[in-house]
Amino acid sequence: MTAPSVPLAPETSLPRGWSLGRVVRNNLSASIGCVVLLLIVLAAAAAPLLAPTPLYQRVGGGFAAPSGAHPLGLDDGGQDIRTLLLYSTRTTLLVGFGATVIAIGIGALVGVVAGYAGGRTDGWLMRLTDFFLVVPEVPLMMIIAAVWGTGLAKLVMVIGLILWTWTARVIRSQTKSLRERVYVRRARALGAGPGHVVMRHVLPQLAPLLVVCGVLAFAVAVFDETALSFLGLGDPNRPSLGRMIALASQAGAVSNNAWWAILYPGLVVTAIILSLTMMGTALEDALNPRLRVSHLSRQHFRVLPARGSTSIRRGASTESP
Amino acid sequence: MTDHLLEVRGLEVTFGPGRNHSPFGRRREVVRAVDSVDFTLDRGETLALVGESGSGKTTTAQATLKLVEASAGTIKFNGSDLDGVHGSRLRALRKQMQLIYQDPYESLDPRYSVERIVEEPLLVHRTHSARQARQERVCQALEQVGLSPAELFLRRRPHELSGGQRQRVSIASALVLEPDLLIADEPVSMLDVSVRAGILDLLDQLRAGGLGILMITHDLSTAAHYADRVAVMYLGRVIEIGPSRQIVTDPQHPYTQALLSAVPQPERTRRARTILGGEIPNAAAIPSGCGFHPRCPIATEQCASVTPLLQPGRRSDPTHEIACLNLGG
Amino acid sequence: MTESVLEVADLRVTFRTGPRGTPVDVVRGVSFRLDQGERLGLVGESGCGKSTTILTLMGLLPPNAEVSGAIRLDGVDILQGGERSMRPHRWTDIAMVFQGAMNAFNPTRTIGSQITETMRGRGGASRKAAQARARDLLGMVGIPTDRADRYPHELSGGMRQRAALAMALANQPRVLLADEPTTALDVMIQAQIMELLERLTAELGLALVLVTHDLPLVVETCDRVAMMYAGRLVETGPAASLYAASAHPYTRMLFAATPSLDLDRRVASLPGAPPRVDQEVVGCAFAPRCDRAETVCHTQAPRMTRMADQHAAACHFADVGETHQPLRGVVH
Repeated sequence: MTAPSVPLAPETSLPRGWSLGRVVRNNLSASIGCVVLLLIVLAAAAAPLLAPTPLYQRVGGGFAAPSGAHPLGLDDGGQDIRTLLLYSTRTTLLVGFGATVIAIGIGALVGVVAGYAGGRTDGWLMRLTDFFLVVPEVPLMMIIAAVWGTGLAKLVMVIGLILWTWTARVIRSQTKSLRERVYVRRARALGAGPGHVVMRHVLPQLAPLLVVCGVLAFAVAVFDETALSFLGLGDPNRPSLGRMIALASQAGAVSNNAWWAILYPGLVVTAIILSLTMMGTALEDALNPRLRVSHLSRQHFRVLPARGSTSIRRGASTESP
Repeated sequence: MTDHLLEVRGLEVTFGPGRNHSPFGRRREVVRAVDSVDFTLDRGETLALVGESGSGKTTTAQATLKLVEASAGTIKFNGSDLDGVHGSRLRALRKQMQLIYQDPYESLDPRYSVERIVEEPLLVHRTHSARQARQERVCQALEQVGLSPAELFLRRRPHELSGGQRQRVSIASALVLEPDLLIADEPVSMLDVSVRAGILDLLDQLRAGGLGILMITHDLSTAAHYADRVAVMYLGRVIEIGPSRQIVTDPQHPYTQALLSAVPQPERTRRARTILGGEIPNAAAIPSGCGFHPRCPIATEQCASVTPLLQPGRRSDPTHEIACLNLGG
Repeated sequence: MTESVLEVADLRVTFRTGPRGTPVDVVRGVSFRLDQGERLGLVGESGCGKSTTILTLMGLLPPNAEVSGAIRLDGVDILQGGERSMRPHRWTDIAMVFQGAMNAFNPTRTIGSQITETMRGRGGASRKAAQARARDLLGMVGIPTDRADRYPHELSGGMRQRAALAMALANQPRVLLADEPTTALDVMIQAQIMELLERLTAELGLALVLVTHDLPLVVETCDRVAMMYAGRLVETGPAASLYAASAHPYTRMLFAATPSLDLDRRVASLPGAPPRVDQEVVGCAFAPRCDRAETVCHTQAPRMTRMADQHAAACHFADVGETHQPLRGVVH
């Protein structure tokens, strides 16, 4: 459960007229991801309206196969998989979102302070970051569950605490580089305090980066939630995608060949993570001009026929052999 | 006797462990970027600090603004010693000395309009609380730098402006606090040639209006035309200082002479160039005695051990001084 | 009459900015000739197209570029076949030194090995021969031979520029293109490098195109000068004539705007700014800033007019001499 490695170069200046929407629209995989994600989010949000059966209501035998009435089948407790999916996705998304907010919030704060202040503050904050970087969430959650019990809030908190470190690093690095931009130095030379400089000059430039971090962190948070819930460390009172898979396998879905009880929740998790990753990667590419590699292209410049010249040769559009 | 606007005596600036945050990364050795620099500047006067890379001219300017800490020497601005001045007193003083940066493409925040960029100093120093008052002041400054009519420029963003216009915006934002001293760090070196004279003329007008201008440049021709006095720096020291006309027509220090003869001159096509061999030594390994002696055509034995001080030159003219053991006095 | 080693005829370069983007005409018809041992200075400000012009001579253009015209090396047009016909000549017959070439070295390999590699790659030399020649080259550009085994970061900016020059000369090119080779260097190093270039062009019989914005530099070191503005050449001629008797107002005004060490000559500023690359041009591109512009200048683009031997200007009001013919082979 490591964070995706995002080699964002420090010099990420926005091209003119850049906007999130435009980047996503221009990139096919990101557009697909965006659409899929939106559909999932909307469905989860409208769970009470869309669910064909009330939650926790038994409507048939355990592990009943998919049929006309219940196209996705039933789980071990006879509940409609569709209903479970909708409500579970809700929980998973909520946890993921909550954890992301915490992660970005802490990460941005630590990153900006460390990057801007430098010196010993930076040193101490980085030691803190390193500490949290190596703390594994499963044992941490186990300990917290053992001492304080499980619950949604604790889950959100734990995932958020594990997740902020990578954002902090990336933001710190970008802040350090922004601090030395001429217009930032100018503001400092004017006598502006760090608050003014950060709010006015640094944060606006960090915003796109934060969005990218947020999107990618969300993907990891969803994965973490699924994993922790699968291990039984999630909230036992709420359905979640990880819990669905866990309960299904514990109740013998594999031996009963009840593939639907495991496959569908798995697909939803995959879809969410994949969509977020595709969007995040497209945004990251847009921010990082060094990833452009037109000079490695196999295409070459075109030669057009000379204007008004005497030689009548057809212009050659050449490509490398 | 009236105070000079700016008086610098014996300025030394070192970078290295335990001192200023080194832009060279973590170095174990101590780099003496500025090594005992003296000069004065009055209102209505332009002084040019001229030198090649490693001469310490930019660091001198930064030390004057207290953007880097001086390790030794005194800086007096409007009569008050800047030593030990911190916090709010420094902020108040900073209002009166402003810096113009070299790069017009990087010195303006691309996300803000011209109005917000030029009004920022007013916000930082909280001089005008009313938006209207600020806008008026901004328009005044824009007109002063030739961006007229000002209203047209208020909403523009930096990327809509040419390099010359951006530099004017930069100057406007420096003027908005009505400073006494303007430090221009290579104000035109990143601009097209056809645009440079316009900006330099503007600076000259401001000087005529009573500002004191400290111009940092590597270009002797620019310095000669637009500055009243020129100080030539080499390896952290001022080696010659005097009225610009004299520096150009009668350069006395061998380095100044070499510098002048290296400047391309269309009038003299195949001229006798004094092309100095070698290169400027690394700032961490400044030669002993006179820093110039390894390359100097008239160096003698004592030049390797004794560091020369600025003294009146050939004609014993106190306004034209050079730092050379063999030519001074 | 000896054939020019390099002849450029009506070169035009347009960039397509994306599928829906408007085409940007960067070079709008440039023609000039270069003889062996001759130094030509191509002078212009930002956006005039001078860098694109010489990049085209090397064929180093991005895929969205469209080129037309002719580039004749010893009389043979190498442009028509595009990349395929240009590639064999790149770095063997035509070589280039870039602005900031000092940063073009691979930091993980020594200078000497990179020069050797250039020779073995394109020139097909054996390792021993290449190494020996690398040392010769370094000596030729004034780098002490013990530096051959140094890494780029161990050399100063000036030294690295010399090394870049050595690398460009490795395969004995006939034409050397230099794009602002000394702009980022101190004035004394600049003088050293320029003197080196002068010496090398004389010794090796190189034809040199020096691209720069520094007019006095070019007049001092080049035989001929071509002034470029908004994608076109506005004046060409011997350096001395261009200075003593500028025919085009841009040349004249640019000289006037460049401070020299002659303090009695006042510096006069130009109004406005050079046109941006994507700006539409109607009539003479310089008309908005010209002190002699008249109505015709704003409507009709002037053609290159030959005034004296080898001296031509594209201006409706260029000082005309005896002859008044358009330059041969040029279409505007």
